[in-house]
Amino acid sequence: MQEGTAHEQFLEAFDQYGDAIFRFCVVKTSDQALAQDLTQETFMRYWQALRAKKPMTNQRSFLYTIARNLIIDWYRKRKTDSLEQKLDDGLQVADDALGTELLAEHAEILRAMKDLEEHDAEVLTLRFVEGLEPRDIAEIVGESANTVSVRINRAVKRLQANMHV
Amino acid sequence: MNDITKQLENLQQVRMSAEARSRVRGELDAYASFHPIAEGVTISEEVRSSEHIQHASVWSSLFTQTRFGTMKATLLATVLVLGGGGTAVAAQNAVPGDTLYPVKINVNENIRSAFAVGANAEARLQADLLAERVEEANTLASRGELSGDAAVRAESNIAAQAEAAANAAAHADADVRLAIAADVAAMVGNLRTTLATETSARTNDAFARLTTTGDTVLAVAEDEQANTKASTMLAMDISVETRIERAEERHEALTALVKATSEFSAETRAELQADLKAAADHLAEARASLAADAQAAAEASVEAADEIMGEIESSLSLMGEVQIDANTGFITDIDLSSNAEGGVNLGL
Repeated sequence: MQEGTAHEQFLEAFDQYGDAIFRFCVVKTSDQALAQDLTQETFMRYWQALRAKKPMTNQRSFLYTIARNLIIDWYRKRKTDSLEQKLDDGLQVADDALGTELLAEHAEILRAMKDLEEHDAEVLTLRFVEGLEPRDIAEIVGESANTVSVRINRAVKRLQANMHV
Repeated sequence: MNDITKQLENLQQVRMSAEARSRVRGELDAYASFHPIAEGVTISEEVRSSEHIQHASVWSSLFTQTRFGTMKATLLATVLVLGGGGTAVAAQNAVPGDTLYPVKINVNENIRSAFAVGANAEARLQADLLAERVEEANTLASRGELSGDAAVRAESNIAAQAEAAANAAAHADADVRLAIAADVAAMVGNLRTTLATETSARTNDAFARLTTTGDTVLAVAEDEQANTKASTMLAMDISVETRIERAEERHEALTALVKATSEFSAETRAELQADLKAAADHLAEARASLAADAQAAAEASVEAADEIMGEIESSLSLMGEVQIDANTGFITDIDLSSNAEGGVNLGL
């Protein structure tokens, strides 16, 4: 049942950005099932924003912003969980029933990223995995572009240090 | 550095499986069908292109609640059990007395209600449901079936939903209330026209009740329009004042922080204090404008103050490790010792 081109465009947006949002959520939560849920929720809220005629100038950054806020909410709920628990659960390798193949090499860097400050892991993901420029990242995370650049450099150094431990 | 960035880039391979993708896509398709969008609305080309991002509107007002977990899962499972498209969609056109009417009320409208997050969304939803109840009465009337029991049921449905809509609208923003009031006035006007022209629908009591309810709803809506215009001015006043208050608290926190941190170099301290003074001047202007009833000027001044304070906070976060209070968002401490690299600690 189509509601005109907005419905089609909405599904196209999912076809185009669904994996990117999923990837972003996996890196931040290390939980594929949760990442799928978050991806779906992100697009549902995007649809609601379209219905409410929310002004937006770029759907890609808007989607990341929604996903990011959902993850922040999720983290707030999980504040009491220990770090070890976060590392243990969720990182499933090739025989995962839900089907995403996370190779062993991915698992290693994902674990290392979990040790970083939340904002550091986030800017690294947006910069190197999603390919966004610092200026664009600045809009999404609400910091100045300068702060973002500095944060990226420091985060890479920290990650390097973590992985050579 | 290259090795690390290469490994990060390898993460680009992470994606959903084909099954997961098609499952999620199917659910999004169903979701979009349940929540129809207004005719003629499309996503503009500009917004869809992945060109350079110019400005993202940070969309925080709808994130007052998240709804993971069993409720969503149950309702979505219900949708799937009903076969997704078919039954649920057919139910949308049902009127009281039809077999599928319970599906419309108990399933479809519950699903919509589960996804209405925030006061404004809730108010719009309740107004939509009121439109549905009125439309059902219209449909029955046009079939000549609005009499006796059916009329009584329709009238009580409308009355009940009108109350729910009024309650929900009370919590929404002024502009949303105004829009809803206008819609309600229009829909009741239509209903009264239908009732007047469908003489077969006239039974004494039921018709009288429906027109009375219609009159009541209309009167409330008209009142609402009048009230809302008056209270809109008041509401703007309040929100600018609140914004100024918050900005003043933020300024106080930053001033205290700068004062308490002895490790700043003389030069840095002088710069920070100059910026804080500039922000304070803007806040004083904002207060003066507010007192003089100059809304726009007050808003502009407090915005200028907020911008300066934002820059101060950015600089601080580059100088050392800052602590941020999770409730207020203010910086409460800064660690400038040489082993603390710049960054933000949210204490998560």
